[in-house]
Amino acid sequence: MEKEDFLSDDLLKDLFRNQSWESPGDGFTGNVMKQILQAPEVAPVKKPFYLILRSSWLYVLLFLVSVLFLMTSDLPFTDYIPGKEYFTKNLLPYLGSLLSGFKPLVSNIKTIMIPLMVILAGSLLVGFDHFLFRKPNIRHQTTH
Amino acid sequence: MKFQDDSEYIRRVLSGDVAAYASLVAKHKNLVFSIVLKIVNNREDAEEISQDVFLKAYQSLNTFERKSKFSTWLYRIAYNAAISKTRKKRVEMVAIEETIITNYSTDQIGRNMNELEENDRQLILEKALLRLPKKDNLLITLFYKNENSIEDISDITGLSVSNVKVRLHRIRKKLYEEMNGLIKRN
Repeated sequence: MEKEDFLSDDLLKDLFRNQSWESPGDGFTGNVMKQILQAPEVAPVKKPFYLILRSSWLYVLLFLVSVLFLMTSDLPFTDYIPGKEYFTKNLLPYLGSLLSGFKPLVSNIKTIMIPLMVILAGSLLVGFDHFLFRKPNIRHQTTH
Repeated sequence: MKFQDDSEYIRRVLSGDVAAYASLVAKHKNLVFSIVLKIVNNREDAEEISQDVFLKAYQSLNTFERKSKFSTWLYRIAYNAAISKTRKKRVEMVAIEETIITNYSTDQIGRNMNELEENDRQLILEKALLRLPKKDNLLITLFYKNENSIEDISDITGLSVSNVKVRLHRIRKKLYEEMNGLIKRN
């Protein structure tokens, strides 16, 4: 990442370059490793699946809603989704009243445009917020 | 001592080679210690906290997602640990008293600094840094000495990118103001 132009300052860079970092005591690394070896129960393990799921629940939910929407809608292009016919003919009837309730809602293209736009707009907003902006962490606003 | 890339050590540690973590500690201990020391301002406390930082990083290594550099992730742990140690209830509303900042020419101060001997320049910088709030001292050091990007500093401190930019701009002005005062007094 390029340094910000308005912050570029050769004098400060030069001054700071000649400053040295502070060093901890000689036995620092050994002490850390001693503590680590005394705590074998904390040996690294792979991240549990439920943690991955917990951090991505919103995307999973959006995905499921989108699938449900596409599988139950009468939009022409959704006819080409693999398995839609099987889903509609064989699985949908067994899903009972919950999914049947969605059918009339999404069977009319005029009716489904609004939720479609809401879902798309929501997804875009969440995406932009996640990838472009960082939320300030209030925990770091305390000082001494 | 020549070090390998952090990701290689991480891979080895996660594969069960605990000793490989010693290289990560050796590689990053000075900067972790310096970050903590700048905030807690006590060498003994800083050493203890830094050890805890490396222990915590080891315990959490499996959660390191590699979205950022390992060093950035580690420095964030160090920063949070140091801040927790010194946390007080008062909420920081404004990092710098802007009334202190007056009009001056950074070029002029630069010229005055360049007329000094290197030792004096370093002494003035050290004194000026000590006059800054601890967090500001750390931010400007990370930016100009460690050459961390704005995004890295944002990751480390938890401040937004725009906040880091504004703060660095103000801290730089404040640092010049302090150096100017010290030059005049010499």
